[in-house]
Amino acid sequence: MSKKIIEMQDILLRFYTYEGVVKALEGVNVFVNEDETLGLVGETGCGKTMTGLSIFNLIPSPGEIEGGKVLFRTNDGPIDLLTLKESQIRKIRGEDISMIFQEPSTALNPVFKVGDQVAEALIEHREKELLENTIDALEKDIQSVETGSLKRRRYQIERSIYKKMLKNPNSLSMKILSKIPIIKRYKSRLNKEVRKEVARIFHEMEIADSDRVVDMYPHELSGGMQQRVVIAMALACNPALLVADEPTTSLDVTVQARILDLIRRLKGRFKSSILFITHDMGVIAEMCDRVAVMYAGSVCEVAGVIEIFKNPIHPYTKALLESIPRPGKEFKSISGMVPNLIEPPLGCRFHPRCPMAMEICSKEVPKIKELKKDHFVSCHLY
Amino acid sequence: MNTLLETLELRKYYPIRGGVFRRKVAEVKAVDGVSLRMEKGECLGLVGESGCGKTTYGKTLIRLLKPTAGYILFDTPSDVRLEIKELENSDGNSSRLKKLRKQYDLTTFGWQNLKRMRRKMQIVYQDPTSSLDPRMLIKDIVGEPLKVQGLARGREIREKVVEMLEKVGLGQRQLYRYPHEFSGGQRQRIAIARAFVTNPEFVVLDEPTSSVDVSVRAQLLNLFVNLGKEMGLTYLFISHDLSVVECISERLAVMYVGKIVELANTEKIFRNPLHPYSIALFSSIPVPDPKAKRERIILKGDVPSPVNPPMGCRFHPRCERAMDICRREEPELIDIGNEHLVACHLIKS
Repeated sequence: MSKKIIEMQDILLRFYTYEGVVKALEGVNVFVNEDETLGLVGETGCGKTMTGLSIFNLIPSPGEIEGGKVLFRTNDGPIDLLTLKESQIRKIRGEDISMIFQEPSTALNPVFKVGDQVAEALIEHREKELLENTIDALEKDIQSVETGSLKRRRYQIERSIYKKMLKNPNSLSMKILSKIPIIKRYKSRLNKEVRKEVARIFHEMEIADSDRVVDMYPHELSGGMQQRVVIAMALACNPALLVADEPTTSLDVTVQARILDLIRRLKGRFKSSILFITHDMGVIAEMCDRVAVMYAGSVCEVAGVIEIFKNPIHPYTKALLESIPRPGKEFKSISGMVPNLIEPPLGCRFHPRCPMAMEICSKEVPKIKELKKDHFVSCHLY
Repeated sequence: MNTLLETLELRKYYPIRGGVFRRKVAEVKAVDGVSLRMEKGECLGLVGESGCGKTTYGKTLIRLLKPTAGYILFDTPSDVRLEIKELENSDGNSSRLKKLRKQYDLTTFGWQNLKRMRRKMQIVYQDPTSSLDPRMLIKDIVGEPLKVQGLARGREIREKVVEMLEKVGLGQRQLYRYPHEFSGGQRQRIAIARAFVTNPEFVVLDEPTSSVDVSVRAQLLNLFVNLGKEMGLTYLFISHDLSVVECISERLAVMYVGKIVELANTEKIFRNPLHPYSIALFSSIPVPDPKAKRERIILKGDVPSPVNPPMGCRFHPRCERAMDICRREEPELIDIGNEHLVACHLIKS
């Protein structure tokens, strides 16, 4: 069996609001294997996005993760991301795990050029590599100029500064030196290198005219293009895990088809695993290897994509699949409403809407168990 | 079948103003010559990408926007419609045509006549959070159209509101509440109640299900179907969610940059789309079946700007099968049999 790249164990997330404690996530257990796409489906407010954000330890303010572990596989064995210090997790965010957000127009800062926004991630995580590239380019320039000339001397000074930067970019002397105008100008060579790299990434994202787009502001781009830039930002550092939070919900179907196609091809090239959050069963069927269905803050069924469409076991999964409109059939809906998570129903959270609810369902929370191989369900019926 | 509503070459251009004197420098051709017919009791689907003019068409149709040119004929006898078409083709300025337009054409109506018509035509907007006034009670929101139209008074309003609310699955208990106290699906039900309370004949549904979840979406669609049957309504269902349109509408029109490119029976158009744009559009719907094989046509490039639409066929810069003629001449919407209309040079030849 393939190795788990990330495993979430019994995540407990609460929001402390004035109205009461919102029990947003109640024991979420999911894992993503190497080189697979796990789909996370559920209705609005079921905790899909919060599950994604808890991987990054980026839960917004009144929320607190009160239990559980997020085990991320590294070269030195698994580490729990929730116990890391801010400075440590910063290294991981964006480099090993990154995220594509739902609304590209809000994920991008309107007052910066898109190229600079992508460059930020590059400089943060790949500065060393870029500095090495710059020095290589300088080396070539030095070779091309005759020995003893003034130009050569200037290049050599430049090289020594870059080498110093490479050794320790945050040293005090470097910080002081970079304030001096002439030396500041030397940094332009590094910036050029960064720009080239950004343009290369844009080109890989199939952005037409990538050299020009680097200097554009987000409002100059269409929704599909903006989403490509956001994807470029996420893939800039070649992450091991990509969390895609409804990356195509705000786009048109034709654009959606293009973006999905792009993500699928990039996944093959970058060898990333993807946690794909969506509410569209059609997208799930197309993109994912395995599917986890969420309801009101907990995972109720996990199985392979073919298995879940063919043999859904949990009553909620069944109802969800039946509510997809199909021509010639009457629209089936799930009766009742999504429960309020401040006072969720006792026992199984789906029992008030479940057509097959039994007595035990309102008393005990069902445990998640493996019914068949790789098919997990949390329901008292089984 | 009786035709309830027909538009002839309807156009809506938005001016772009610039310069010191705010002169008109360009126009956004949001709707550019759309001729559609809606039969009594049918549900016509209108699909297209965002920015193609779907919503503008819907709003112009019920005269929430003033059209730039064209005719909107609501509930007009068929012989009058024929006469108007003939006169329009032969002599656009005859006094007979002017007289007929004044009587039947919504584009010429003043506000008094429009108010009379508005009882019969209503709209349900996309996002109920912004289309319901947050400071009004539900009873006032749903009762307002009755008051404005003078259809009921005093206690009668309340009775009618309760009756309507019950029809959409709410009840008397909700009368004295504000919109924020409801969930998204319930708010949309309130918006539906408000639109349907005047007993309209024609309702524009402008992406009514795009802001709600799948399970609620099915409830709303059922509501539309049932109310439609009960009240004998005609719908224009605007959506970009093709799977919903497939299930609810009988005929389907595909719009691209302000123009209709294909119009046919829904089942037929899904099974056998003819226009290259429709083919690409339908092929990009995600199918909720992991084993289904897909042959996806991925469109290159972006939707052209409606300010300067491409010469000739508007789709030609993105069309794989574009010919020479496509760059020069604009194809007309022609009937290729069985009420299947396509605007493409390929189909003609």
